[in-house]
Amino acid sequence: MLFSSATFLFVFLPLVFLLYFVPVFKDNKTREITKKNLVLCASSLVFYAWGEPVYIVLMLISIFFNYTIGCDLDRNFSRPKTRKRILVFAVIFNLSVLGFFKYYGFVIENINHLFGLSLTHADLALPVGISFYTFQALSYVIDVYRNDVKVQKSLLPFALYITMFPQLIAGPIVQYSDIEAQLKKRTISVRKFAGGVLFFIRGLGKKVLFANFIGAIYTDITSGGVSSLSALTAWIGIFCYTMQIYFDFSGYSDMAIGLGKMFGFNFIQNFDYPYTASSITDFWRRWHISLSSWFRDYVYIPLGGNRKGTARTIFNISVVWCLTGLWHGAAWNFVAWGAFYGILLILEKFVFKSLIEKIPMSVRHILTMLIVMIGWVFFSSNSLSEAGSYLLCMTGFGKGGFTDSQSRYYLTTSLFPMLITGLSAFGVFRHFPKPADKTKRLTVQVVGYLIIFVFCIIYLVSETYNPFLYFRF
Amino acid sequence: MNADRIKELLCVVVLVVFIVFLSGNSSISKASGNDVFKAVNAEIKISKTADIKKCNNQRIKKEFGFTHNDFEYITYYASDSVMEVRELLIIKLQDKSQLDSVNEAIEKRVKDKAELFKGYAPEQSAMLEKYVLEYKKGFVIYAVSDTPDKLISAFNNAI
Repeated sequence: MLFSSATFLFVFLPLVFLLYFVPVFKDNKTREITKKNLVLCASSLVFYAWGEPVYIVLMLISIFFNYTIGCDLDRNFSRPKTRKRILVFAVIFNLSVLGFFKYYGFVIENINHLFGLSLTHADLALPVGISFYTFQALSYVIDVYRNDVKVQKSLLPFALYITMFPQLIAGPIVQYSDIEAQLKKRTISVRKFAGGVLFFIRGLGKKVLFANFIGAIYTDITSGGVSSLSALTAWIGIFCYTMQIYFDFSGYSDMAIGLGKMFGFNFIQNFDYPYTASSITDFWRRWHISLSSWFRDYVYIPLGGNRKGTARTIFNISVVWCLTGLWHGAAWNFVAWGAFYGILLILEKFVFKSLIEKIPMSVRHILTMLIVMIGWVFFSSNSLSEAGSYLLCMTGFGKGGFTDSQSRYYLTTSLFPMLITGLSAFGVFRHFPKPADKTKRLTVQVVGYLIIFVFCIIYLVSETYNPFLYFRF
Repeated sequence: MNADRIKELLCVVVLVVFIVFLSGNSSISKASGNDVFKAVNAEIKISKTADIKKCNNQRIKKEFGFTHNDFEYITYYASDSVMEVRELLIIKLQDKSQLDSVNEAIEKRVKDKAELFKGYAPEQSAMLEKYVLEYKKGFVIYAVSDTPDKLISAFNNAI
């Protein structure tokens, strides 16, 4: 079920609100929050089962296993060696599940290719959101092991942490420590609910009005193959994809954060105007913040971070970025995309640091943006060879030359949407003056969001196919 | 062995059983999109029908809103003539979460077309009413044809 579908907006969500907000235990706050958790957990399982019911079994195994591991770690509090063995077992279990469903086919195909074998494998569908909920489960187990959080002795709040539908399928990846207290006690108010609605509409608008629209231009450009694009068309195409993936993914995150607020939860921000970054390091502090934080807290720092000398730091960065690439998909173009950023971050940290500081800020912004756009070529392509063809076209040495009638067509017809999405992504509109009077400001805000919502609904009624790019991870 | 350890091992056992079950009842067919198309086409010979031709990605986007990159395989045959309703669409999904939105998009298109022909083109309306929309093991087939039963049987046999 998609957040931007009529079924979700007009059937599923109102029903969940009804069950969630109608008080059953008015005089007993503890029982009321348990009821709310139960409603949210059950509806999350229904939400998950909507697409591929069979994989709910996998999710239930993950919930029960990681919950038990937490209890086991707690029971062996005074036995560090046993605790370490339990942690290793839990990490191996979780990564094996993720590895089997996500990477098994990829590994077998590569072995076949390398050694000329013809090993077969079951062509299983990728369980939706497996990368997200496995990382959440690992965050819990590792935090309990480190004594950073208390063990969750009740199964229901833990199951809710893993299954919560607002962020189940495409993040943000919520670390257990960020949500531990909220599972027991959270503020639910009209003000917070209204704030959540605004967040949700903003996300819906980003997805439906911006991402789908600008994404259609990229699709149009690449639909006839990428090998004969002119340089200008290729740059227009990748600019459109750059905008599409930002508005698509940050739109989903905003919707997730908004839904969380409506139910009384506070999730961490996942995007902070990433395209205004002045370096690649800065970009990754602003893009998919929850994933970067996860790799920092559970891979980079445990490996030693930057505390064990230059060579070890380079190794640690390389490991983190190869894993980041692989996390996004079982394909070499994703590995190349991760390695691309790993190399850039190493160069930025150890080679060009002083040089970068001397470059004027405006030039740094432009350079960062160009590098990010080049990175998206690897990400958006179906294979490494397709990425190579696209990059060749961008240099002007491809079959299409520098410009052609197609590029002039796209430049004239798509300039306005490119400009609007670009200015929005660069955060220009947030600096617009707002009315000083609070009532006026509120009125403008409400009317503005209502208009966005109406336009989204009109679009959703007329267009039915609008999947999220990040669903496949 | 304590209770927690037994539960953990139980999870491992259930997981292994689940994987074995899934592998035996793979939810995705190993057949390629081309194989399925060839099998279906052998029955209805849409590629040899006058006026009907293979459509490019732009046309698919225009008619259904689908982006070819979203699927493992997609092929669409239709006519440029507004009076020709016979068409064939075969998709191999990347995952089953795409199924709902794909079905919705196709059903909306059929509804729009039926509205268009209603009242003045009875033959086309009758053929549209017998449209085929099926899902099996990762494949979606949508077709408007003279022989929907044969087509479905060819589709099922190919997967």
